[in-house]
Amino acid sequence: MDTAFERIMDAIDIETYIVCSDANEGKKYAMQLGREMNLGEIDIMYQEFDGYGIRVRLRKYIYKPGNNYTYLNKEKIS
Amino acid sequence: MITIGVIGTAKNTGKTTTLSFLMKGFHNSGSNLAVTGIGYDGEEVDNITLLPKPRLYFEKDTIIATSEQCLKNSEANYELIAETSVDTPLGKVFIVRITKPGMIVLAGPNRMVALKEIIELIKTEAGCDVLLVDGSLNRMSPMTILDKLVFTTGASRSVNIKKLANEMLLIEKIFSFPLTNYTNIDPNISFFFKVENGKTIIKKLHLDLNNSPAIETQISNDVKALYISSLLSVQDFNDIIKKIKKNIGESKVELIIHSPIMLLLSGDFSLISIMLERMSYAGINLTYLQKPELSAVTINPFYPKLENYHYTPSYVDKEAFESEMVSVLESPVYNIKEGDNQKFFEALTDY
Amino acid sequence: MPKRILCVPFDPVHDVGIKIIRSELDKHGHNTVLLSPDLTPEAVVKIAAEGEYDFILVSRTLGYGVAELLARFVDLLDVAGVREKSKVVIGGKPITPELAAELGFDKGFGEHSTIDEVVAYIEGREISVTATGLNRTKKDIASKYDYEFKNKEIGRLLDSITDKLLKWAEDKTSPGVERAKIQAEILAAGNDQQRKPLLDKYYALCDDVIINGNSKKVFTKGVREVSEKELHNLNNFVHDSHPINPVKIQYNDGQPLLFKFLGSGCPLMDIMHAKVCERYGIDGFLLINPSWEARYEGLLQGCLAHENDGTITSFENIRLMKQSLDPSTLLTVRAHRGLNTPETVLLAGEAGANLAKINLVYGSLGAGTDPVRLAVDGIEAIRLAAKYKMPFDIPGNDELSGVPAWKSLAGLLINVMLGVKLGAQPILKPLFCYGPHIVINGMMSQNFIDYNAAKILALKEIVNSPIWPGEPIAFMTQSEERVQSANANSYHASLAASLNVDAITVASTDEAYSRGPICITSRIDTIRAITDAFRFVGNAKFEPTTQAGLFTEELINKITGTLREVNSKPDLTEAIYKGCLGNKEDGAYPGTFGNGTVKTK
Repeated sequence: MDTAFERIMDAIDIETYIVCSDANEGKKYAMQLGREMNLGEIDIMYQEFDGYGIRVRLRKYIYKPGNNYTYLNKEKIS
Repeated sequence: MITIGVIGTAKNTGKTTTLSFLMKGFHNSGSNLAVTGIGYDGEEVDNITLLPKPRLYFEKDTIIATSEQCLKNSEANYELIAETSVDTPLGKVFIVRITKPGMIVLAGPNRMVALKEIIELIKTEAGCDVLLVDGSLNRMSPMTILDKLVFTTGASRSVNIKKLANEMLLIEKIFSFPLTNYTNIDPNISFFFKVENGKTIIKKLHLDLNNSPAIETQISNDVKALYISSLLSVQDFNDIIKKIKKNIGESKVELIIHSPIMLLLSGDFSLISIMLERMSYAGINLTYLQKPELSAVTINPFYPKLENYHYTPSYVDKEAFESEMVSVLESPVYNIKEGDNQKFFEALTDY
Repeated sequence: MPKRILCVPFDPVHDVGIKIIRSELDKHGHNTVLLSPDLTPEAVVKIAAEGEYDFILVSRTLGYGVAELLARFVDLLDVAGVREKSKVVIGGKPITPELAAELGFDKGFGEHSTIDEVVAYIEGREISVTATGLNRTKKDIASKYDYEFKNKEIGRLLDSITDKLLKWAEDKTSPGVERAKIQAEILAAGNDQQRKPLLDKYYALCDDVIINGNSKKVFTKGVREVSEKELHNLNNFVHDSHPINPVKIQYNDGQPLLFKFLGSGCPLMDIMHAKVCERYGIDGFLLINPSWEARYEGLLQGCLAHENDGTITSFENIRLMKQSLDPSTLLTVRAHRGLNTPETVLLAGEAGANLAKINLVYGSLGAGTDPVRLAVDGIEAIRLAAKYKMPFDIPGNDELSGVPAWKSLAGLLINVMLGVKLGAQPILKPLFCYGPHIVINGMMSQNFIDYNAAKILALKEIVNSPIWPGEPIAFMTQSEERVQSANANSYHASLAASLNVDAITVASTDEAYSRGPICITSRIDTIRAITDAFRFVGNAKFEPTTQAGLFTEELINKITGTLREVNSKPDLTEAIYKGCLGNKEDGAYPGTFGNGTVKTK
C-alpha cells in the first residue's frame, strides 16, 4: 500500500495561527512546525503578524513538475 | 585599537562563521573585544533563502554595537555603554557590554561616516584592543576605513572554482597597489600635482569626464600625479588612461584614488582586470589615499541551490576549491570549518 | 519645510508603488524627481551625487541576485559621498526592517507599510503605530432612528397588539422577573452580610443545578471554574500585546458594522479570538450561551469554562469579556429565549455590555420557551434594556424552522413596537438565509439577491428603524469548503452594504462544520473575504431585479395579513399558540420551558 504522502498530487498546505510576540518569532515557529510535523523544510507562502500572533500558510511540496509521480506509475490506482 | 573587517564577495560565503571564529580566538586570547556589523547578521533563518543561518554567540565582557530592536530581542544580558546618534532600520545603534553571554543579532552602522563615529565612540568609551566589523552580502564601502580585511568567498558567488580563484587574485592585486607618498590631500577635491619652475605645486582638477577638452587642457606633460576624489567607473578609468597617454606620453604618472574599494566598485571584475593592464601598459602607477590590509581569505564550499523556486543546501568539492585558491593566491587561504585555523588567527593578529 | 526626494524605480514592471508614493509626496508639497526605470545604478549614483536630495527612494522587487545589486548600489552611494547628505530608503513587497538593514539602507518599507508611514518618515514625524489600541470610536447603531411607522396600517395593528399585550402582562410576574429584581439587589449589596439573605431568596427561585453550582461549586459535567492563574495569563496576553496594523473592514462609512459570534464555551478562548478579530476590524461580538442555560431557572456565577458550545452567561464572564475588549468594541448578550431573559439583560447591563438580544416570538416558537412565560419575561427584559440604554436586536431565526419570512418579520415588528413603547431601542434582524420555506417555494431559484433585498426594502418601507441582518448572514448557503464559505459570506455582505443596512453578523468558514469548535483561522477567513468584498463594491451596488419589487410588495401585504390575524386574538400569546406567527406546518412549535410558572402579582 502506498503511503499517504505518495498519493498527494503535489503539495500539502497548512493554514494555521501561531501565537507569538513578533513576526520573526512567528516565522521561526512556523519553520519549526514543519520539522515537528516531519515535513522537513517548508515554504512560508503567506504570513501576517497582527500583534497577537501570526496567520500563516505553509507549503510542503511532495511532487514538483518533472518528478516521478508514484500515483501515476501504476497499472490502475487502487 | 585595531579594526578588522570581514567582507564577503557575496551572500553565504562564510562571513558569520569567520566572524564567530575570530570572536572566539580573541576572547580566548584575553583581548578586549568589540564587535559590530554593517548589515543584519546572526539571525536564525536567512531573510531571502529561508535556510538556517549560523548564529552569533557573545561572551561576557564583549562590547557590541547593534540596533535597539536587536537588543530588545537578544538572549544575552548587557549594560549600556553609550547611546549613539547612528540610525538603522531597526532603531538607533547602542554600544553595550555583555554581562551574561548569549545570542544577539548584529545590525550596526551601515555607512562609512556612521562606522567612523562608532569606532571613535568605542575607542573613547570602552577602551578595546580590537574591533571586528561584520560585513553584509557583498557590501564593502564602510570597510574602507578599517586596518585589516578578511575576504570571504565561496560557491554561492560562483560554483566555478577557477573563476573564484581568478577573481580573488584580482582583488589581491587591487589591494597590492601602495599608498601614495603625497600628504595633506583633501579627499573630497580632485587635483593634480605638477612641476613648475622646479617646484611641485597642486592645482585643482576640474573633472568633467564628459567634456574631453576640459581634461585635456589641464593634463600636460609636466603633471606628475592626479588625485581623483569622485567615484569612477571602469569606462571613466579607461578615458583617463587614454587622455594621460595622449597628453603625457611616456612619462610616469601617479594616479591616486581614495581606496581599493573605490576600484572594486568601479565595475565588472573582468573589465577592471583589462583596465589595470591598460593602466600598467600606459606607465601609470596606481596608488591610494587610504588602504586596509588584505590579511587573509576564507573559503566556503556551500551554496544555496535554487531549484523550482526553492533553495536547498549544496556544496562544491572543498579540497579542489582550497587547492585552487592556495595555488593562485599569495594571501593565506583558510577553510574555517576544516584545517589548521590557529594559523589563520595568528596571521591576522601578527600586528 | 519641503523635502527634496529622488525616486528611483529599479524595476520597470513593478513601479506603481513608487509612483503612488511620489504623487502623495507631491501633494504634501515636497519636491520630487522620478527617474526612468532603465538607468544603471552608476547613472543613478551620478544623478544623486550631482543633485541635492534629502531622500533617495528606491523601489525594487527581490529576485535572484537582486540583493547583491542593491548592496552594490548602496556602496556606490556611500563612496560617492551621497550618504552623507541623503537618506537612502528601499521599498518593495518583501522588504522588512531586517532586510533593509542587511541591504544597508537607512529605512525600508514593505507590503504592510502605509503611504502615511512613508510620508511621516520623510517629514520626520512619529507615526503612532497602534501602540495604544485600535484608534477607533464606538459606533451607535440605533440613535439616529425615530421608529416612525411609515406604513400606517401596520403601525395601527402593532399599536393594538402591543397595547393588549402590555395590559395582559400588567398583573403578571414569573420567577425570571423576580430573580432579576433580586439579582439587582445582590449586585448592589455592599457586603456578604447583606448579600446572604438575598442569595437565599434567589436560590428559592432556582433549580438545583444552579444552587449546587453557585453555593457548593458542584457543577454539571463539562463546567469548571477558571483559575486565577489562567485569568492572570489571559490578562498578560490581552494587555502585553497590541494590535499591529489594525484593519478597517469598511471601505466607506456607508458600509455596515461587522459582528461575530463568540461562544466557544471557554471565556479565555473567546477573548483570545476576540482580540485577534478586533485587529482584523470586527466591530462587535455576540456572546452565545449554552443551550441548557435556557432550561434552568437561575444563572451560574463566576468565571466559568464549559467544554461544549456556548459560553456561560455569568456576570463575571460577561464582565471579563467586556473588560478585555477594546473600549470601541460592542458586546451583545443573548437573552431571547429560556427562563433567564430579564436576569441576563440585567447582568449584561451591569457588566457593561452594549446590546442585548430579545425576541418574544422566536424565543417561543423556535427556541423552546413557553410563550406566556417569555412574554412576561421578555417585556421585563425590554424594560431593563431601556433602563441600561442597551439597544436590543430581534433575531428572525424562526425562518430556519420553516416559518415564512413574512410571519417572522411580523414577529420582529411586534418586538419593535413593544420596544418603542417601553422606551428601548430595538434593532430589526431579518435573516439573510436560504431557509426551508424559501427553498421549497423557489424564491431564490434565480438569484440570492432579490428575496434578501426584498426583506430589507419591505422593512424600510414599513418603519424607520435600524436593520442588522444575521444571524449570521449567508445562513444555509455555506458548506465546510472554506473558499466557498468565505465567498458566500462576502457576497451576502456586499448585498448588505448595497442595501445600506447598519450592521451584519458574519460567521466563520467553520459555520457548516458541527463536529468541533470554531477556530481562529476560520474566523479570519470570512473577515478577510468581506474586507476585500467591501473594497470591491465600494460605493457601487449589487442591484436587485424587478422581481425584488414584487417580493417586497408581497411581503408587506402578507405581513399586514399576519398582523391582522394576530390582532384578532385576545393577546399575543394566544396568537402564538394559534400559529398565527408560525404553525406546525411551518415547523414552528410553541415551547414548553417555564410552562405554568407565570403568576399573578
